[in-house]
Amino acid sequence: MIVRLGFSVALFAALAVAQGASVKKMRGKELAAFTLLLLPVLYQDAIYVRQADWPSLPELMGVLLKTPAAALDRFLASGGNG
Amino acid sequence: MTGRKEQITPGQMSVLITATTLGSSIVFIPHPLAHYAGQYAWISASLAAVFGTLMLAAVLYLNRAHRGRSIMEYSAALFGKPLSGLMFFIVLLMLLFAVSAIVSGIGDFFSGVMMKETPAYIFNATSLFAAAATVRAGIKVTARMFVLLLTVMVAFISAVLVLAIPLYHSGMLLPIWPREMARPVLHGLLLTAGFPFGEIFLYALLIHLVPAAPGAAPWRGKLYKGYALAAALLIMAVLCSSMAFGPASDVFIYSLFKLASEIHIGDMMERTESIVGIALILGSYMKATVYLYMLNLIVKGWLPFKDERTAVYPLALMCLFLSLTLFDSPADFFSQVYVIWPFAVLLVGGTFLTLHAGMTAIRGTGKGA
Repeated sequence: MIVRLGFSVALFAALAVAQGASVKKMRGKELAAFTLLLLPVLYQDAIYVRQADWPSLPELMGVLLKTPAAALDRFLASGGNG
Repeated sequence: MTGRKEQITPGQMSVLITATTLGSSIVFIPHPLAHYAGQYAWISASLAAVFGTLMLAAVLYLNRAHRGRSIMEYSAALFGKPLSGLMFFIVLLMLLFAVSAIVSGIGDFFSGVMMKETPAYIFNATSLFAAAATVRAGIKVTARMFVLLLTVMVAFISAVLVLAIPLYHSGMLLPIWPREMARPVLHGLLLTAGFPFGEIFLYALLIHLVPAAPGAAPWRGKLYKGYALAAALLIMAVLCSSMAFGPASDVFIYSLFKLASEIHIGDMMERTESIVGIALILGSYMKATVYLYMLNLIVKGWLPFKDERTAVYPLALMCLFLSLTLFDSPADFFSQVYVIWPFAVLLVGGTFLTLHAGMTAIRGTGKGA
């Protein structure tokens, strides 16, 4: 956990160095949009650091598609591979 | 990437298409394809390439019909903003997954076969940083740089396929125990039609970057040529892998890399796989870069940033964390990338293009055209 936390702190520090100056110039809607953009990043970071079993955004799609995709895969796999 | 509208030439667009079609799939596809289709793998790949051509034709039809407008513009005109927004949100999720899976693949490849003591997150982070820095440089710079990288990659792949000729046995293409042929071929077709050939639908997001000058020479043929080159190389890689390893090609996760390691020409050419491995992974980097660019294109269409590059690093960071958390194990990676992803591409990509092409045919080019 310490390594993961250190790694993510280093990444956010790098982001601050790279974009800190431009973020300081942001006002109003632009600043709100940037904050909004950072929210899912922070959420994903929390999953990584805590190794939590929380759902992530792309997994939403996987949940919907997993059953039909797996069923089709099973049907086609039952034909043997020559 | 600057404030003015970016444009690239048809030749550069065809380089991007070749790079993304070959990139990552050339390393990863021979293994699951052999697993699914056995000796019929090359037949599945050939059929899937035809399917991809149809997808490319649909993308080009949309571009021609809407005279170079971006798909986000004409989609909103055709379907209204809420429905169009929902469709692009799904595409956004797909791109987030794709970039994360590609980068995770790079990390697994390096930490699995080349630098086993180094943790994968180091490779994931450096690859994504490289991709993000490239995206921030702009699509024109990206395309120009990829001409060189693609040349290197194609040259190395071709060299491996040619130098390994003594290892090929055409008899390996014959089934050992003839059983049903249709389902294995269909299984392989489902895989490769989704990954990588069906992914060409994502170019609907980029194609408007090629200027549609009235009276300009026809340029769409260049895109088909670029796509055909990628498809031919991929099919050759699958075919050669089957001929070299036979049924065992489903055992080697990186079969082209393994093929390179089997090349021994006297004492002067041995252990070439490391160089080949780096050349192969260049493809994954190029694909991650182009997909990250597409992601940024969608996000900047939604959020009011003055600088078009603002979202690139946060998106890259998001993909990095996803790449480190999405896949619990190699089996989970296999399931998500080779079972769910191709199905998602076929379903979402097919529906996306069919809806847009259908509505364009019915309603013309939409309001405000």
